[in-house]
Amino acid sequence: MTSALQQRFASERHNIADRWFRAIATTGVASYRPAEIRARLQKLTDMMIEAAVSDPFNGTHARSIGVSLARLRSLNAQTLAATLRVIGTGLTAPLSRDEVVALQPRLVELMAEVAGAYYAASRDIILQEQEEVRSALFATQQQAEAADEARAIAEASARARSDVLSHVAHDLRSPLTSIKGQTDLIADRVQRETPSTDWLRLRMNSIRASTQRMQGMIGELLDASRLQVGEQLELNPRQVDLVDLVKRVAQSTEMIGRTVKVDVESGPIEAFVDIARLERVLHNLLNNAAKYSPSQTAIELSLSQDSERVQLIVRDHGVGIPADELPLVTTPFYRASTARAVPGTGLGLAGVKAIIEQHGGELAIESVMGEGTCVVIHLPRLQ
Amino acid sequence: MTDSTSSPTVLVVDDDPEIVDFLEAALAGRGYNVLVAINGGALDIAQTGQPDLILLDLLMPGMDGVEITRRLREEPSTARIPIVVMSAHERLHFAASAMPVDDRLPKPFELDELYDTVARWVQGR
Repeated sequence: MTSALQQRFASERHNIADRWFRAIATTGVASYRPAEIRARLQKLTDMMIEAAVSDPFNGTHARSIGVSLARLRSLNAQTLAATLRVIGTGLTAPLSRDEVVALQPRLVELMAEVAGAYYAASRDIILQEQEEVRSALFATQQQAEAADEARAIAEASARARSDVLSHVAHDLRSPLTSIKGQTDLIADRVQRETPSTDWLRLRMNSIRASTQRMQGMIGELLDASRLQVGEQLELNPRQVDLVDLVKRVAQSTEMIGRTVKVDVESGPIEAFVDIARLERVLHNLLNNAAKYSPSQTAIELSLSQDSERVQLIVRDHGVGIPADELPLVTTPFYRASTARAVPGTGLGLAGVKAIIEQHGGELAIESVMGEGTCVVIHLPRLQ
Repeated sequence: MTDSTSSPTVLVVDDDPEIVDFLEAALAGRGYNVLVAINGGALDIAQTGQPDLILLDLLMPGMDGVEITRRLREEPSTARIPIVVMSAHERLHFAASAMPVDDRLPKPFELDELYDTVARWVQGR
């Protein structure tokens, strides 16, 4: 009998699945991915047949049927009704009366189990579908946000770019004012009398300091224009004791009335660097520290080395940089939201990063809002 | 020390030490007493020094010229001191027009411009 039943089922499996599908379609759920549901139904039908012909009274089945029925009752009465309708009209009809009598209670249970499994499957599909829609929406939303962000950055960068020339002009005018002023002053004085050597020396030192500053600004601008088109900088590296360099730059920062706490390991601490550029890097970092921190706070500068690397740290106790802007501050023209009250080109850190990286070093910036910013530079040590 | 009985006192406020040096030399050469504030401290020095004129840079880190002007005007002892705002900024006139300052001096300037401006405000006192 088992084999007769098996044969009957084998020839009818498509029909059974099809009837199931149509019955279930009345519940509306089959409108989700009909092809997939049909395929799943076919598989479930086959499972049902397999279960029916192998061991109708298997204990495992009985347990899972119980679970399925419970799930059906609680979840979907409509599907159960559809299931029972199919059993009554389709599947059982071709069987002999004895077969039906013998199998009906078991079939009802099996059908219930299949219906439960189907329900779970279709629910999974729906959930999966919803999840896909949700994640697609989320992705779209993320893309939109990313696009908004990119647009905002592009706009900010364009604005910054349009401002950059006026900032550059402003920055260059400042040392120019003192150079022009001092030379005018000398010219004015020598017309009337012979100035003292000391007086002249003071004027000359001031002019020299201003020309050096202009030189640095122009170098920075040239570097920036090269970096903008993706060109490498032409470095002129030499063997340098960084201890001297660090102390010299720290002194010039003290000139603007800020205290720089210098912590330098006993030297020499030597590296193979482009002096002018490394000075500019340090100037930049110290100036940033001075610009974005209250004047009564100290700026800390430390220099140390281990067997492979030289470490330079510049720390301030100023406004800080918002965490989400940290990756942006080294992009040309970008200026952190906390920096915008103070004039600047937005080129400084971009240049610093490029210079350090071209020396085979690394730049890391850490910042806590309202507490301060710490810039850490690592350079390969001269072996 | 300031000798307020014989010669007028000018307070120079700028974050650029070279400009401070130049203004100090130029004004001292013309007989003015010169007080200097490089970074911060301008308010205290103005109160204690009671200068006849303040030459104030517009854009400075920390407290900028706008903020310093506001505080100078709020403080009764400094409220009436003339302020000349200096800047290399291309829009100095626009910025200064919104500030309670008396005059402006665009950088760079000629020595005569500096001397004339300072003399005008100091004499007007």
